[in-house]
Amino acid sequence: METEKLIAIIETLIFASEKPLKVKYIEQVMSVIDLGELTIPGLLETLKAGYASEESGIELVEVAEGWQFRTKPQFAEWIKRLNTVRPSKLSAPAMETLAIVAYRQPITRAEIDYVRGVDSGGVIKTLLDKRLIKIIGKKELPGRPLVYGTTQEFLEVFSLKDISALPNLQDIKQMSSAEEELERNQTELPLPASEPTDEE
Amino acid sequence: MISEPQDYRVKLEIFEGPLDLLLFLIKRNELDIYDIPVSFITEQYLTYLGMMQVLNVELASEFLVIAATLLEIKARMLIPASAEPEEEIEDPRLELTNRLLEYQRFKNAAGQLNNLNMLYRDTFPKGMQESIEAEDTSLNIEADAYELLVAFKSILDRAKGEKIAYMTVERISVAQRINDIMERISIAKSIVFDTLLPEEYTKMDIVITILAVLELLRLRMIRCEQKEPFGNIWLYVPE
Repeated sequence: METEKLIAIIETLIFASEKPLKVKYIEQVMSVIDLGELTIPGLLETLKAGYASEESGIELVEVAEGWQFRTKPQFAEWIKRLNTVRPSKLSAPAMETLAIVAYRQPITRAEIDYVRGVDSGGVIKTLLDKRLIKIIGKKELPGRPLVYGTTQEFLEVFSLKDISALPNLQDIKQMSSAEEELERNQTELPLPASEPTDEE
Repeated sequence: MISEPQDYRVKLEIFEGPLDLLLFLIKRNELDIYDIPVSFITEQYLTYLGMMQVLNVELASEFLVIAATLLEIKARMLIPASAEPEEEIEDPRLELTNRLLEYQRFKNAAGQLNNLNMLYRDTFPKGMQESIEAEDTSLNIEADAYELLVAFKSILDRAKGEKIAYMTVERISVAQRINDIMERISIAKSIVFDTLLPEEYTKMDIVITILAVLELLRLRMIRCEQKEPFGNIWLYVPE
């Protein structure tokens, strides 16, 4: 089959899906075709390049480990004029809390509160409701506190390919690690999960 | 203290927290975060807390915790160094500095997240349903809420020492003030925050005015912008 036709098939698959389409699903669908030298990721790149020109208002982006057609950011104002979408925005405290969760996950509420210096219960609930974060487990600490992490929706909303695509992830992680170490030494004592006792 | 005309409490999310206020004060006074003049910053911090109390802004208890921390650090810095020279003396400010740095880092990270192409804000998939449906409570203010407090403080300072004759106390309500502001703003399109007050005003006028402005911001009936750092704060009607 000609390359053009293969690309066209991939285009229809992505266009027809509701959510970002994972490469493995494209591969599954197209497994009946002999691709020869070609690969699905390679064809995706060719397709993506085709939309890059000025003549197109949409682009093919890799988000949340899948592929999706989206409008180019420079045309956002025009879509808002349609008035059919309510532009979504997050409050500053929500954005701040989300950043802490994203960069430091898995993280407990107590740790979030400590970084922000203020109670984060309300904001965490908002973020949970918006499905940008979720409970991903419990920490092996007295009281077994819940730990939070970001969701697939988070990646979709912020146009991130995967969590490693967060800007300056390494820098922020590195800088925090020293403090984390300190906290760990303080908190991860093998105390029974009962009343706190005085230090000896 | 003036007796309160009505029992109101203002709960605002725009005052993010004590660390945020401290960072703001450090930046505003161009201080070195690694060498914070504790005495000075404590005084500033308490002044701002006092102002927020005048406004009846509901202060999270954490604001007081940090106030206590500041006072403790201040006290510890006054204690003469230990007699034993081997003992390593830790700067009492260290923990707070680290917390501020950490907080600042995540504030920057939040800014970077905000710069990403956000779905339903910068970029749209086909189909017009919205995924983040919860009613957004964010306040659309470009000028910092603390900047409003700074403006408020300068007005308060101006009012200091002015002779005020108490005759009849005409109590205007926040609702009335809101109407005044909206009327003025709809004619002038934009006004400078400082000019909202009449020629002669009382402390109550100031308080009512800033509450009215904050309420209007919350309702998104006005927007608030500052063209340059520490410059005039402009209020205008959003398009």
